[in-house]
Order: sequence, then structure tokens, then C-alpha cells
Amino acid sequence: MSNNPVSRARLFGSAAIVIATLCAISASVLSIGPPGLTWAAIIATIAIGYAIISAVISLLNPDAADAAWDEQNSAVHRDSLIFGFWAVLAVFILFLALSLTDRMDPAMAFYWLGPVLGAVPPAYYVVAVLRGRAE
Amino acid sequence: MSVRLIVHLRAHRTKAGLTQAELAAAVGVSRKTINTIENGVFTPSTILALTLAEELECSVHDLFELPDEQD
Repeated sequence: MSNNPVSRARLFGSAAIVIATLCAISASVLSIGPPGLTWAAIIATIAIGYAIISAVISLLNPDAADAAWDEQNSAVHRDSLIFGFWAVLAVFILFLALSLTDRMDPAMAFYWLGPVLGAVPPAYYVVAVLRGRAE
Repeated sequence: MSVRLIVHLRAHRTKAGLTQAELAAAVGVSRKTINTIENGVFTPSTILALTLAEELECSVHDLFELPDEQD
């Protein structure tokens, strides 16, 4: 575990977004728990909360913020966004096929692209940290 | 072009009596970055390579070298 408070906030924030999104998807598939809008609010609250906490910690620890966003971590962040793009494209094609064959409501497909778009880059980052490729 | 550098950073860092964390703090990167450079996982930019060499008072060529035969 990193001693850098900015890195730690990023890891926990990313993990929280991923876990919340997986819970939302699981609940939706199993038709249990709160409605989708509630899950959307939960995920958004976590994401915005993480952004605010990260900004405050970065302002209080500028040297730690520089180290947390050094060239290696920036490269992993860039890779996570590229991976996120391809993941969303793949999911879009899947949802398109499901919508065209009347197996999925187009409005629901559009709705679920948001969590995929928001959660895949953090998921990539968490995996990179677990693999020792980022901090 | 994909070449795996031969890295001598660990030897020079140890010789300088620095831990990974101390060297990372000195050059303004994370400890993980120093760790992955030493393990050949991450290839640093020219600027970081020069900064590391300056901090360890050696040449970039002392820290990194290309393999003899490239595919």
C-alpha cells in the first residue's frame, strides 16, 4: 500500500466506483434492491465525493500530488482511458445487437452505457495497481 | 520499436545509499515508478532518465543500455 495520500485516495475512490457499479449491475440483473436511478445516484455520489476528496488532498499535499501523477501513473491513466473507449464501443455494439433483436430496451441500453463508461477506466487502474504497474 | 532496456539503476541507487522511496522523493516520482524502472517494467522518459542520472551523479548510459543484438 502506497504512503502517498493522493495515490491512496485514487485507489480507494476507483475501487469504490467499480464495486458500486458491479453491485448496481448485479442488482439489476437479479431484479433486486433499489431502482436504477437510486443506484445511479449512489455511483454519482461516490464519484463526485472521490473527486472532491482527491482535489482537497492534492491541494494540501502538492508534492504528493506530483508524485502520484508522475509519468508512469499518467501513462497508466492514459491507457485506462483508451481501454475504456474500446470497452464502451464493444458494449455499445453488444447493446445495439440486443436492441435490434428486441432483447433489450434501447433506453435501458443507453442508460447502462453510463456506468460502463464511468467504471471501466477505474477498474483498469485498480487492476494496474494490483499488478504492480501503478501506485 | 520495442526494446527491453538493460537497467543498472538498482546498483547505482544502492551504491549511493538510497532507498527507492528516498530516490523517488528526490526526483519527484512515486516509489512504484522507481521500482518498475528497476525491474524493467517501465521505461522512463528522457527527462526522468537524465534527472535520475543527475541525482545519482552518473551518466544515463551508466543507468541504461540497449541490448547488444536487437530484433
